[in-house]
Amino acid sequence: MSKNFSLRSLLVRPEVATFLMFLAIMIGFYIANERFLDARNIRIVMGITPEYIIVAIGIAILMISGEFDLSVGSVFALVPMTIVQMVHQGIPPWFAIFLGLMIGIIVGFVNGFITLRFGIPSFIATLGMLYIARSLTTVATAGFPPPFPHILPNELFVYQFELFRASLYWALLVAVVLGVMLHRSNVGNWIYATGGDQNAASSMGIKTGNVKMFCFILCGFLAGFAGMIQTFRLEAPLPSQGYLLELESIAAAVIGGVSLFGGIGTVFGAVIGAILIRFLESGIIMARIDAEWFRAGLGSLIIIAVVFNTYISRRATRIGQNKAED
Amino acid sequence: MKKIASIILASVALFATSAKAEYKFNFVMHSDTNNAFWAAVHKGFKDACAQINADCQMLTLSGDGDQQEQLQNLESSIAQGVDGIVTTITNPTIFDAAVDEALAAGIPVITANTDDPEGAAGSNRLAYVGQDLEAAGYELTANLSEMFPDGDIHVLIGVADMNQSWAYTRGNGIARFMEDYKAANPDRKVTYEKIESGLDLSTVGNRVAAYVQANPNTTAYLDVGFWEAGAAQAVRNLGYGPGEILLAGFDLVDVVFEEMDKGYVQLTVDQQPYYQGYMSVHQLYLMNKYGLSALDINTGKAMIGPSDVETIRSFKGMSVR
Repeated sequence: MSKNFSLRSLLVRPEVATFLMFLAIMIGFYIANERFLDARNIRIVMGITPEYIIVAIGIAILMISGEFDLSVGSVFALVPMTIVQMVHQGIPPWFAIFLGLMIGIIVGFVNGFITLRFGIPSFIATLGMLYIARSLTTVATAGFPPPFPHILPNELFVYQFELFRASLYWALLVAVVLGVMLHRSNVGNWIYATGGDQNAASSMGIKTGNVKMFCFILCGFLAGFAGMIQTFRLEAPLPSQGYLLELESIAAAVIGGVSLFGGIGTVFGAVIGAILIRFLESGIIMARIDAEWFRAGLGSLIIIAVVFNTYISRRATRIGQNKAED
Repeated sequence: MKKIASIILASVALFATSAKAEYKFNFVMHSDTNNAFWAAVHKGFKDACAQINADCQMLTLSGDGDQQEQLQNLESSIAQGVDGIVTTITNPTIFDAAVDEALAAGIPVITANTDDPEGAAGSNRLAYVGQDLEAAGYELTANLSEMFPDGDIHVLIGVADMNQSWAYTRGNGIARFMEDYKAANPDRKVTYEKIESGLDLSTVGNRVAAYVQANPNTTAYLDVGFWEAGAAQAVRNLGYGPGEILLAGFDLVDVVFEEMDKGYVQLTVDQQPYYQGYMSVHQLYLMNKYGLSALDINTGKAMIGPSDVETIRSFKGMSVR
């Protein structure tokens, strides 16, 4: 009986179901094309994934606090574009990076301020910001995308080791620090309480407004930081970068078991969700699915992932209930 | 749970290629599946693949012009271990390393439709199958200039997306002709301006309509894609008659022909996209099979006016033009 209970307590965790799903996908695509798990392909996918992991973590924590941010894709483009332009204007690289990341923080603050001060859904406030920040990116290009200034310290963030890039270690650092914060600190407890039941959290004395503001700012900062890493990897600031990233990162969080209604989710889940989406994308190409079916395949697999996830956790809950009745 | 897992595994395994083809080729392009122009490229690609029984995959993007995604598709194609890659190069630098990596892995890479802005000097790709984009922009404008009215001339150049090399290269060709025209007509006031006009009909229509209202002296609008058709709808709605603002652009798509019928679009350039899909596959095949070397193919810059529409329409049903 205790054995069943421990199985249940494991399976009821949505990120564990996601992890199982991830393994199934990896094996499935490996059968479709054995090169899927080649070092070369792993290197390609894991070169891109850290950028998405970082954004997904920010989104996941914000969603756990009960809010959304649709502007992450635009901030992902705006921050690196301004960093590059500032360096072209003669601002020292590290100071430009500092100022650029501050822009991410400011966008997060404005998102939070509009949402909380005017009491409108964050979905709307950040939808507006999605357009504003994307437009500002185009303004920042000054009509023509600038070349990448090689005095920027990009190797520190994206150096290619044998299999992984430095960016993966940055993403893991972010995951560990924020994982500890979310799961082992008071701040984490406040975030869960605020997202779970805001009124109850308020009456417990938690300053829910401050908690949400913190999460908005964190999300903006991480989106900008991740965008900077992508620009450093490509060695080109692209106004188009981060297109549809807001939806992908919400998908990653949800696949990883973060609730759309707040209060539930983990950093680990968001990490696995982001990795899963990137491998799905790669796997679809590796399996030589026709172009017209590409997005249909990706979309279906996202739905399957979430359905599978929900099915597993319901099933596990039922096992637990049956055992409890015994 | 077992059932679901096995269904997923089975469906994924289904994606594995069933027929054993001799060669595998990938086409990595820079647009989404909604862009009407690419249908003929895709048709040429598929037809050629069918003729040589090759296993072919065309990789499109979720977002038109998302270069990071295109790079990812290029890298995935290398990881697949295909026998040849056709790609477009829409950015002067970001694809360089991947192209070199493919060549180092023994995978031939040729570009089609859009080459590095510096051509062979800017990328190690083996050949280019497509239009000389800059020259086509120049020729288009030169031909349109024969319809310019007397007096002052002001031309608006719609560079669809400033970030994409095919767009600004054509735009540069248009601007180069305008400079030459200005020099050749010192007694007239000749001016031109570039705007980022967008990648769909309604966006282009809105932007051109706003521009024309603010600048009623606009003589002509040249688009680097086929979206002058959107501008045609917009100027018609503003009350302009056919030809009052000259409109020209690139490529043969139905909306352009409709606007030519109505007299609003004067000129378009045919780059014969079918060749770009078709010839690039056959090149890769012959390179693999007989060790032939790659060669550049200029797919042309034929000027198409309203009088040519009927002839071209007779081929339209075959989806090759």
